[in-house]
Amino acid sequence: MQNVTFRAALVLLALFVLTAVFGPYLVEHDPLKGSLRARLEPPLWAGGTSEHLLGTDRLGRDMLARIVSGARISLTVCVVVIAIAGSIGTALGMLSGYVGGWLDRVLMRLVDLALSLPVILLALLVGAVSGPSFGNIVLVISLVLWSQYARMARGETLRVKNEDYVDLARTSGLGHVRIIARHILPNIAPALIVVATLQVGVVIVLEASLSFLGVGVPPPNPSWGSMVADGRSYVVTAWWVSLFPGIAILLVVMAVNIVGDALTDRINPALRGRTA
Amino acid sequence: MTRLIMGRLAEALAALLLMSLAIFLLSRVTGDPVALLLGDGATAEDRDLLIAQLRLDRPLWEQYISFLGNALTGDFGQSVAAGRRDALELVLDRLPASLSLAGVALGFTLVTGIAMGVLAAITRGSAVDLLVRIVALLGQSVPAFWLGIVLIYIVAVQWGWLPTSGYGTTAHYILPALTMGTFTLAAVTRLVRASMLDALGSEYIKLARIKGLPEATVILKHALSNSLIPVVTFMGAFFATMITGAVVVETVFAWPGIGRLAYESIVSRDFPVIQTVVLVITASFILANFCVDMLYLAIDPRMRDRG
Amino acid sequence: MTLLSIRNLTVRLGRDALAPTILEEVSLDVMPGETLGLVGESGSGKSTLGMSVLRLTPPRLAEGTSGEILWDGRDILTMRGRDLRALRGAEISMILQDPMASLNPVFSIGSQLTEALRRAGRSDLMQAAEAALAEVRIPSPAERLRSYPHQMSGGMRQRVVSAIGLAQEPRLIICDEPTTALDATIQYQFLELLRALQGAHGMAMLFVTHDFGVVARICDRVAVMYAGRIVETGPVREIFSNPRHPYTRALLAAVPSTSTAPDRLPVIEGAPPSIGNRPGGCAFHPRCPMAGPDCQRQPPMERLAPRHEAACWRAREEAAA
Repeated sequence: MQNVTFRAALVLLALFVLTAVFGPYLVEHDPLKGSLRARLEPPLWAGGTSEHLLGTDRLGRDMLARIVSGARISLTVCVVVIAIAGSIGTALGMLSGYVGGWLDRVLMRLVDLALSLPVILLALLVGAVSGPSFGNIVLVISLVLWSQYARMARGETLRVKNEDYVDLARTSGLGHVRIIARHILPNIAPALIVVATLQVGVVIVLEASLSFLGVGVPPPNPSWGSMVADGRSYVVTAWWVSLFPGIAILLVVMAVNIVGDALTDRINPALRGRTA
Repeated sequence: MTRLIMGRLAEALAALLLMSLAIFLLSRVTGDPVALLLGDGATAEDRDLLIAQLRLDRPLWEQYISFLGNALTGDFGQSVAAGRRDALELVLDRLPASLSLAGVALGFTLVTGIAMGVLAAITRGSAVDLLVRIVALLGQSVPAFWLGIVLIYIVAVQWGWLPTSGYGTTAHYILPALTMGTFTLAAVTRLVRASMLDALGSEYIKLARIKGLPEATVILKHALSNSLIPVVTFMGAFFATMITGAVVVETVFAWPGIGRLAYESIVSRDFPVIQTVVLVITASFILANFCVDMLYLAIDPRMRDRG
Repeated sequence: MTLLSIRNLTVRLGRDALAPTILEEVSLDVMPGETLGLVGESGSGKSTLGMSVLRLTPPRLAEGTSGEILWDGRDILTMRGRDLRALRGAEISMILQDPMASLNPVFSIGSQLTEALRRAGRSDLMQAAEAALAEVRIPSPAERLRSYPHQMSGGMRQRVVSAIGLAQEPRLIICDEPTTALDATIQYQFLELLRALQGAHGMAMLFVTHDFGVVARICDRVAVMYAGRIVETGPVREIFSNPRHPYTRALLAAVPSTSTAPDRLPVIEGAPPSIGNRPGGCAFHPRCPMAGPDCQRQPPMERLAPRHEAACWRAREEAAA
């Protein structure tokens, strides 16, 4: 049972990634171009045509094409944020654990602080000043999320720092940077991968929420969040505009959470359920 | 004990200071407040005047000091959109609606989440456990803004059971509180289930059973009291999630709180108000975290002997 | 009159009849006021036996439990909620192995002790609690009532656990390796204390241990367990002077006597089989120096002397010779 859900989740995730990478080349409609004659057409099974399987939005843009395109935006934000937050957080965390002392104390206070930053509000602030942009949401989300890597990397570094192989590397005269890169990083990587996995869902929901509020990915780019926002005013008459992008978010995030939980179980069972 | 509390208080103040710095920098570095405040029809003279007025020609650190000084005296500037009203006043007017909603949501979340977590743990492996875990998984994965729209459509529009949006009666609280609390509810449920399972397998639970205590006492007193410690640890984070969620939820349900105010200010590009909202919320975060620390001291005797 | 009578107790890992067994066909009697030692290596099932008597085994083991555990003529294994609670603490109590883990960290000593005393119908709870701590020789008991477990040492905590165990004046107390987690000197003190308490309260004691040295110090009678079965029982003096089962002999040979160096560890060839991998017949035969072809069959428990029984084909031959 556990295994079946895990596999299903993996398949779903693979589908998401493949859609994001290749999908835009496969769909026949342009996600940005609509036809005013085909506005708010329902999906195929609700009286629509096979021309627009999932219907169209208020500008007559094809929902399927927009959802496929939205997958690419979601994935891009995830990859960029996780790369930025992950590398900065990991570097600072390892430094903190390896060096210790006052640097460790200061960095860990910063981590606590970053963990309690209100992401959405900071994004609103930045959005208000400079308008919605891809760079801004990546900046704001990374500003908060690096701390989780830092905390994990620090704890794991403390754990492996005094292992024999690290001692051996030290006594054989290897420089600190090399020790950290060659001997510590590979050993703490699994735990960091778990953090990254669990964050994918968080990043997707954050990006969607910010785009929903109008401070995320700027229109007319089809972010899943802004698509839901688009459909809000038509919920009663054209439910599909808001429904499908929401389901897409739900499915992907659920799959990521299942995989993340399974990885947590395998790599660090003590954290089970503690990753709120 | 007193030293511990004073230490925490000092930390909280330092955090507040750092947060204000972060907010200040973000607002200055990522954009041009002058352009925002002036609008399109302004001349170069207007611009220079405003720069001098706002002291934007001074070095950043000086700007920050005066920003901080103003903030301490309650001067957060004036709203651009809402007829030059005092920004702080505007925010404080809307605060009660937000706090009451977040309070209801947090209460509902904690009670339901703890109950579901306990239920799942004591029926581990059963259909009930499976159901609770599925609900928790869904709750952790569903985006709040979408859930709110779906709930409005189904419960308010289709069934007509509850008002679609707005503020006033008890009925108005139900859907927004549910939407706001869902993610946290899932998190509390998972946390309580995991820590209850730990507790139920522990030796002190065996000892409680050996004493012949009724099962209800064993579970609700001995196991639950220990399982609540991690919940308290995460309370600050839960509160943070709720308040952050407030922007989305209040927007979806047209709830007249500071979250909706923040959203409205984005639309009207009312920078002073947004800045004030962010500062007020950040301060309330820090206050909440401080309270959580104190609560921690109250329920875990091991903590009291530190420091 | 037998106080506790265990009949054919079998515990499996689950309901399935083919599931691996932890205990197989164990029968054992405990007499009023006696101290019975239950000796075996880890994995022999001795702790499961102790837990089964109070129905405290994990759900999977509870499902796979069959046989009878008779107390006052009633089968504990068929008891339900209220009857079971009336039994626990009041009739049969238990001292657990790890004093660092067996007290609830968030409640004071006094609160955890009075919980037990209240069930015994005491009204003067605070005085009774103070007296109970004094009886287990905890210094300044009145102050200790307000302490939390993390403020006390392991030895002191184990005394508190004993006080809780004795609070309801049980007729039988099961001690599950209560001294294993303690330092050697504290261990000795604690055993002395247990003996004194037993003398004062007149209860029977089922003492689960892997240590024959402890058995010699405290027990009247001993049952030796190997791979889920009892292989030999008898009075302590008799077992020490005339062990019949080769496993008992090996265990005894490994006990450091006072003259030998204390760092000599028990030596028996091979390791005890893990649960689910137990050899057929007499489970000891792969490690037994005296094993023969007949040891492929399970030997029955045989009376060799008035109160001395063993399950071994060789012991049987020796007795007949």
